[in-house]
Amino acid sequence: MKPFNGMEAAPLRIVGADKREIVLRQGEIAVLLGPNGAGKTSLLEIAAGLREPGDLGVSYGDEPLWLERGRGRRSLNASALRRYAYASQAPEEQLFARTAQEELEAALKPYRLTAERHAERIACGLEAVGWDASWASRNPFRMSGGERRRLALACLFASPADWLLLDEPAAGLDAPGQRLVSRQLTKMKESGVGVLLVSHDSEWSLALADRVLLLSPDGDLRSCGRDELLRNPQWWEEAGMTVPDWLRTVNPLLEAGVPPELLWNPSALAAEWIRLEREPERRRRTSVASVSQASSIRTKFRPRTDRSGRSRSTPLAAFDPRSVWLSYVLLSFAIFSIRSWTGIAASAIAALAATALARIPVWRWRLPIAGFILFSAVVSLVAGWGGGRSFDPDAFLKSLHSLTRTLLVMLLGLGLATAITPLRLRRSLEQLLSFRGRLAGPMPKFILTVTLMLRFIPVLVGEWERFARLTVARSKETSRGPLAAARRVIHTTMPFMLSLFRLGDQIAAALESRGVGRRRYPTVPRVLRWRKRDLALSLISLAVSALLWRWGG
Amino acid sequence: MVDHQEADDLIVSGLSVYTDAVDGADRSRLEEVELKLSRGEWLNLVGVNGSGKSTLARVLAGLPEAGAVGSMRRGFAGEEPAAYVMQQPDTQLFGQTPREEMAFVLEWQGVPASELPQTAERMLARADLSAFADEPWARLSGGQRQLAVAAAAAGRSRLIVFDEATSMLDGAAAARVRAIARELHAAGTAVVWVTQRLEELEPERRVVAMADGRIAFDGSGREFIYGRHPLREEPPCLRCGLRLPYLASLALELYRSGHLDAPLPMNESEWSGIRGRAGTDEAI
Repeated sequence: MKPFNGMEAAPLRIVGADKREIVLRQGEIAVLLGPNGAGKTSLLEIAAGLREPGDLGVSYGDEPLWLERGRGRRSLNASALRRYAYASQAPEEQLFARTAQEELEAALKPYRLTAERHAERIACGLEAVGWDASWASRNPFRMSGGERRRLALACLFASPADWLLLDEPAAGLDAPGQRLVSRQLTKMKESGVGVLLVSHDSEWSLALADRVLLLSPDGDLRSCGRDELLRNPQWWEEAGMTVPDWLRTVNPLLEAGVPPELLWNPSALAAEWIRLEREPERRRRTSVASVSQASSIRTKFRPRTDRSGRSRSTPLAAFDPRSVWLSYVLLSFAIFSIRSWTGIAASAIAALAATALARIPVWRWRLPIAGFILFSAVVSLVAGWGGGRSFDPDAFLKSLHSLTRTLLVMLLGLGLATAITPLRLRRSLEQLLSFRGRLAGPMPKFILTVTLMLRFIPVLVGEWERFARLTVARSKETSRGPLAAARRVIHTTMPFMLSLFRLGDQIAAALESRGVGRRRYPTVPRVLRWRKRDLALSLISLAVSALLWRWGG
Repeated sequence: MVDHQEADDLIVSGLSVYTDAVDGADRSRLEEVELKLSRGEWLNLVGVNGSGKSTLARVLAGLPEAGAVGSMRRGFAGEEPAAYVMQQPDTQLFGQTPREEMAFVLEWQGVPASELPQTAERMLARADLSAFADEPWARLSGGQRQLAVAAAAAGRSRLIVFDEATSMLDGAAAARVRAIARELHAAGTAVVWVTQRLEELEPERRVVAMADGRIAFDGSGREFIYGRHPLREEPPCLRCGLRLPYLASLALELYRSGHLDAPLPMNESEWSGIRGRAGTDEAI
């Protein structure tokens, strides 16, 4: 095979937890199939280094994707990142530049090409999507959705990488657009580029595929030749999918010995169908001959998806939100009233005991907590030096004292946020504020707005993280310096803001169609009941608060 | 009876939508659209991205659409917006768990508090989610989340619009969402089913296809795939920029060689009849 771009041929190797490996070669198109939720996108992101690989190993040729930096830490290998070009689902969402030319230049920037080669690749990219040079000066944000998709694909095809990684490249394209992508992928494959793509459209993707990766929900990954999969339809079910209808219909022809490549030539296949019908004795004669080369292997991988039990339930969820609130308020007042350092120590013990008993995942907030501790130390030191030339230990301790109390109250507050979901919070607020099952005035709207904002924070964080990952895939920058970080933020912000508008639009439509806000007020169900355990929780909190208050007050 | 039915049709006439496509949103123009939807009807709405099918779906659902001119009589659908299910479940779920979601919807419908838990339970059962009622969304699959959206949206209005609700789902999950739509339809709800998956079209059911903001086709599913006279005209689905399904291209070839007669097969059961006749069906 001719090495592309003057680089050596670089197979994409994925090593599983069991140390077995799957090798994908350049000059082939591999299609990754799997049911919803099996982690196809996660696996593609792992192959691109956009996601922690868990116990998977990924390398492009002799370049490992991650470099060990000792003490179990690792960092991305920039030269492995340059081996691939990546297109996410709906890649047009990631556009950020003012002209198509700038967008293409951003895609080529990591490769530091000569001016001549740079111009050549840009022309190539535009040509691949059927555009001439006049498109280069167009503004992406004035383009239609379909044109934006073309531009995103032009950026992908312009890149001089050895590998193309694509997530659902045909989804949402019209038939001519899908043909264009098929033709271009085949052309790139013939020039020696390796392709790995995720697609749930088996009619479109199997026509292109040389190799198929089947990912099942339990993490098994099977690699096989396309024709092998066609001969073994049971593999679909083993991977948790159903055999597609089109394949089920033509499968008897395959079993009767019709060669798989004829599947994508309807007139030849129809002729075979008719011939077999006329000469039934020819059936099955050649069918078993070619089952020999079973290149399918298995490997285990566990992508760290959101489903790996991130939120272990806390015992606080079993209490009435009002009793949890009451306890929080009592303890906070007690902690804030404390003056002595022994009192602080006692409240620290109480707060830590409470977080441990409530199984509050403090670890999740380690960054803000660490930030706050650092902030407290700096502020206290400043306070200590603030008096004059000499260090004033009293001022230092005084501000450290009040900041420590704040930290403890904050730790307890985290428990509150964990235990009470926004809607439970809403309901308890409404129940607290309502009169005979009805809420007055603007209260319902206010409470709804606050709780919806809380609800969608994780969605927004998820969107930000997604675009931040895609920025890494495009810029291929691994530097941790402040300049690189600033660039990443800038390139992530624009697509993120546009995505916010889209999300807002959808949320508004969904609320509207559910009838939310049309009535003056919703039903306020009295589903929350104050039980014995709530009384117990409140009394214990009261007792602890009283103790702390007496001790340190 | 006929008169009465016509009297409460949903009628869209002279509908045009002009938008400035600067925000990159997937919303496009409509030009002079005329459409009638009857009580309890099932309408499949197809077209490529940017053809205007989503815009039309939103208008049919009664959602506000900027830049729309023309007139619409809501008829049986009533003045309030109809239930509307979109592609991305995460922006349509307001609770943290399926049970919270159902409660949220019911509270805003003003369902009496005493009936609320049982009604929520029934809605969960319809979506096969009873066993996962108190799981956070992060532990449910995309298909299960979409089922929760469908169940939460269902049952409130006499019209429900599914806007590419299954386009990111695999076959099994898509079939379950579709089963909810069928159940609602059987109970008399009108369904507008927007899709790009042509394998979801039934042979005798109405298909409206959009192209460049206009209605390019209005007829049966079979006619949309094969044309009124197969081989003598370009199939309407191709004219609308959609891909001819794999099996349809095979059927056309079998028809060309005189091996199949019209009506050409559309789905698994019609094909299995042909395979049976041809004797190629023994393996399955």
